[in-house]
This record gives sequence, C-alpha cells and structure tokens, in this order.
Amino acid sequence: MNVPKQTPEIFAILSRGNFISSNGSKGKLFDVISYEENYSLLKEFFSHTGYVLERGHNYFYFSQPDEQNLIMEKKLEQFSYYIDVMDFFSSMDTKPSVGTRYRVTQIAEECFSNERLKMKLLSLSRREKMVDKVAEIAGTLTQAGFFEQEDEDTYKVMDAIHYLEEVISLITIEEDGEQKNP
Amino acid sequence: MKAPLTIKDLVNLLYQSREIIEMLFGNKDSINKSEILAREDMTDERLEKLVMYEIIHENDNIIGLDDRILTFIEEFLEIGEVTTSFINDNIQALNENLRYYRIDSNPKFLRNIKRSLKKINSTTSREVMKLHKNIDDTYKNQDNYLIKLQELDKYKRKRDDIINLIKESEQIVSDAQGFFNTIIDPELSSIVLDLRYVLVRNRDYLNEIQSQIIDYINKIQYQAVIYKKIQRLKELKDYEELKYKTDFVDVVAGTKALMFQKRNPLKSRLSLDFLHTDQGYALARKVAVKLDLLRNNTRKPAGKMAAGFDNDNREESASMNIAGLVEKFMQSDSDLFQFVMQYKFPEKVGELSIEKRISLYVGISIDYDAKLKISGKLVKIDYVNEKKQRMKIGYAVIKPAKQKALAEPMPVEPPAPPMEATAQPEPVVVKTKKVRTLTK
Repeated sequence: MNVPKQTPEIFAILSRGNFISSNGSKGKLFDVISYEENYSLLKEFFSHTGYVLERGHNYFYFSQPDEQNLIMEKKLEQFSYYIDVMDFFSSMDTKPSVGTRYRVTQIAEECFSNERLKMKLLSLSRREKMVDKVAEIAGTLTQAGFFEQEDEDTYKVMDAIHYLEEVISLITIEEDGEQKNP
Repeated sequence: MKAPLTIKDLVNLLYQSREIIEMLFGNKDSINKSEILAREDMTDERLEKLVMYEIIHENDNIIGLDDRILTFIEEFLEIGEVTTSFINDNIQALNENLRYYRIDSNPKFLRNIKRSLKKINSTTSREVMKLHKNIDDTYKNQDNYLIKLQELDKYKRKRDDIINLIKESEQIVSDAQGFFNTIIDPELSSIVLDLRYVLVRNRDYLNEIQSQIIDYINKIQYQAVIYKKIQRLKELKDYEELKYKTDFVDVVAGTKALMFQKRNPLKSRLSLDFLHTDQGYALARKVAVKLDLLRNNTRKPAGKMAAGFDNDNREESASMNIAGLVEKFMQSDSDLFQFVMQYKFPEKVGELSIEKRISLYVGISIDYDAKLKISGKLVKIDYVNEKKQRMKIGYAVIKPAKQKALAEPMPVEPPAPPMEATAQPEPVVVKTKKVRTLTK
C-alpha cells in the first residue's frame, strides 16, 4: 500500500481530535487527502488503527466507532458549550460562515455597544477584560480546529464549522406550541 | 481658470497621474489627502489641477477618483457593477436604425445597424462575465450575511433581465433575418451569425449562473436557519429544557468524531536501539548539556574493553547440569568425591579446578542428600593447591543410596555453607568461597 508521505502528519493532527479544513493552513494536507484515490487509501490504512477517516463538506476528521469508556457527561458538557459559543457568534452582525474573519478587537467593540451580546459574552468567559474574553473563546475554537489564527488579532472560520452545523441540524426540537424564535 | 480639455490633454493628464489613479482605484474611499500629498510624485499644485479637471474629487479630506474615470476603468476592465442599460440602449438603437434603413437605404444607417449588432454582442458577453465574477465575489467575500443574501437576490434579478434582453435581441434579429438577406453585405451576415452564436452561448452560461445563484442562496439560507436554531437551542438551554425538549443527548451521544472524546495522546518510548547509535549518543549528550549534567565532563567515555575481559565471569555462570551429574553418579558405583574429582566435564564447562570440584561435591551432598547414602567413613587425601601449598583434605565417603538414605546427621550449619563433618581447617577457606555459586 502506497500511502502519501504526509500520512504521519495527517495522523498526528486527526488523532488529536482535530480537523483538516480546505481553507486553513492545513489546506495542503486537505489536498493530499482528497487527491485521486488517497481518501479511500487512507481510510483503509487508518482503519487498522481503530479510527475512521471521515469526510465532511471540505474537511476531514477521525471518528471512533467503538468507544469503550464513553464519558457522556463530558461530551454533553462540551457540546453545550459549543451551543453557547455558536449562539454568541450567530447573534453578531457577522455570522460565523466559512471564510469569515473575526477580529478580536472588533468583536469586543460590538459587545460594548450591544447589551445582549455583552451578557452572552460575560457568561462565556471569566476573564477580566472584554478583549481577553473574546480571545479566550476564539482560542478554544482554534484549538478544536473550527477557527484558525491568522495574526495576533484575526481569526478565520474554517470549513470544519460545518461539523457543528451538521450536529446542530440533527437535533430535533420538540414542537409544543411554545413561542418560537423570530 | 480651467481651460477646456482636448482629448490629447486628457490622455496626457491621465498618463501623468497614472500611479495615483491606480492607487485610488485600488483603495476606494479610504485615501486621506495627507497620504496623497506625502507621495513623492504629488505636490499641492498638481493635486489642485487634478481636482480642477475633475479627475479626482476631494471630500472632507478624503480623496477619490471621479465617478466618470471610475466607470471608464471598470467598463474597460470588465469589472464593477453589472448593468443592463448598455444592452438595452443598443437594442433601441438597432431598432431605430432598422426602421430608418427600411425607409431610406442610406449606407449610413446600415453602418449604424452593424455597429449596434456588434455592440450587443460585446456588451452582452461582458455583462454576463461581470455577473458571474460578482456573484462569486459576493458569496465568498461579503461579510454580512443579510447583505450577501440581498446582493445575490439582486444578481438573480439582473440575470433575469439579461436573459430577457437576449431573448429580445434574438427576436429582433430573427424578425429582421429576411430583411438582412436582401442586403448584400458579407460583413453584415458574418456579424449576424456571430451574434446569434454568442447569444445562444450566453444563454447557456446564464442558465448555469442561475443554478449557481440558487445554490448559493440555498446555502446561505440554510445557514440562516442553523443560526436561528442555535439561538433557539441556547434559549432552551438557558431554561434548562435542552435535555427534555430536544434529543440533544441522543444526538451528541451519537457523534463519533474524535473531538468529543477523551483524548489519549499517543506516547512512545525512546528506542533503546537508537540510543545505542552515535545519533543517540549525540542526543543524550545534548540533553545532558541542557540539564547541566556535564559539569565534570573531563571524564570521557571509556575505551574499548579488552576482548575476553569477562571470561572469568563466563566460567562462573556457565551452568552445569548438576541434576544430570547426580543421575550419572547414581548409576555408578564409586563414591561421590572420587566421582566428582574424576568426572570429565563437557568442553563448554571447561576444566574445573580442584576447589570447584570440592565445592560441587559439597553442593551435591547438601542438595541431594535424600538420594545419597553417607557412610560416615572418612578418607583423607593430599593435594597441592594453586598457591603450591600442600594440603590435606578429609572427606566423607558418599555412595548412591539404594533405598531411603539413612538419616546420617551431617553437621549442617544453616548460615555458613556446611562442610563435611570432617573437613579440616585449611580447605574450609577454599570451599566457602565458591559454594554460593554452585549451590544455586
């Protein structure tokens, strides 16, 4: 089996639970995986490690079908954090769609003038300054592979954000005649 | 005062200020007056002159290109806003000229007809290209998604307009086809043919664009739905209803991506084989330097060990098949001491010294005493040890036991390796040394 020479690098990123997006600095690796037969080749290759290489809309990630020591609570906690974060970003003027660039200072600025956003931000981070709060959240998203830091102040939304959107779209909300969001 | 400009003057003026125009075109609405004046090729007078001839305009210290220049460049480079009015104008002109020519077959009107046809051809293609560029650009670069949506909608309408104009042009051309046929002009027929071909091609292109716009709009609207849903979920979460009113728990439980799972980073150990290599040594040295472990590094690695330096050890550790030896002794009829002294050991064990044989004798007599019959008789022999000392050894005659060994008490002293009952002082020293290895 002739796997690409970048395979160790790919494995190192994906096995940490990270994503490889087409529009980030790992774009080259994305191209490598999507090149010709490489995707199926690597999928087969990685299957021996117990991880499944998965393809999303312009991103790749690992899944693990048989999880033994499943820590549900942590998982739920983590995802509910992402609901908060996504709610925060989607309440802003600039929506977190693929390729959007956020500047930490600009977000903090917007929060100053928008009381609702400010409240959301306050509950998301315990840091003292607004800018630090925003930077902390952006940092968390960067670590998870949904954002990427371009320079000190600028973060770019990765294709992997689709993953969160997918999960969110899978959730069904029970209709019970409650008032709905406009 | 401002003198009227000739074409030559205008082109010259544009040429002289080409750098500034390029810069202004690139950065619309964001150039400060001071920034312009800071440039080497710009002086107050020149700026004033450009403002006077309305090449650039100044507003509140912000410098911008005049709209006419802007439009001119955009037109020429096929960038900028999509506008259908050019196509429309040309269609009107074509209609008029066709009418005039029917009334009066003046070649002047024919020339105009040809020009209009050509212009319809070029403007349509150009607008379609621009449309496509702008749609792509809007989708990828417009930050605000509401504006993005509206802009795409606007382009959708423009596309419809262009399609209608193309249909109109096609109608006019096909209506006039019979009329064109009466005019004998090879250029005209090639222009008409070309135009028909281009119109069809652009229509196909526009259909493609249409599906692209719809795709983009759908994607954006889908995202908008997602955003609303996120906010709704957040609301439920704040009311602590997330777990009860949604299948949040099941969905998250079903996500298999690694990111939500406990991370167990792979840890690998250093390869010992690697550490034995020169690179490994270099690496270890580097670490040692870092940890400041080489303060006393006058000590160099030891030289190569002499071959066979550990032969002595090897002799000691070569294991003897003592059980086999005892087995053989059981078959024989001699006494144990003589048997051990005379036994020819295999080569790999090597030549055993008398002391070793003695300690072997002692070891066997202790470990296998159940199989042995210790007669209680003493025999004394003389021997010369390694230091050329004459010694006397007394030993107990031990024979293989044919039945259960007699409980002949041998003075076994637990802590010190025991001697035969009659061992004399001299040999004791020799024996105690080696007993440990042999009774293992």
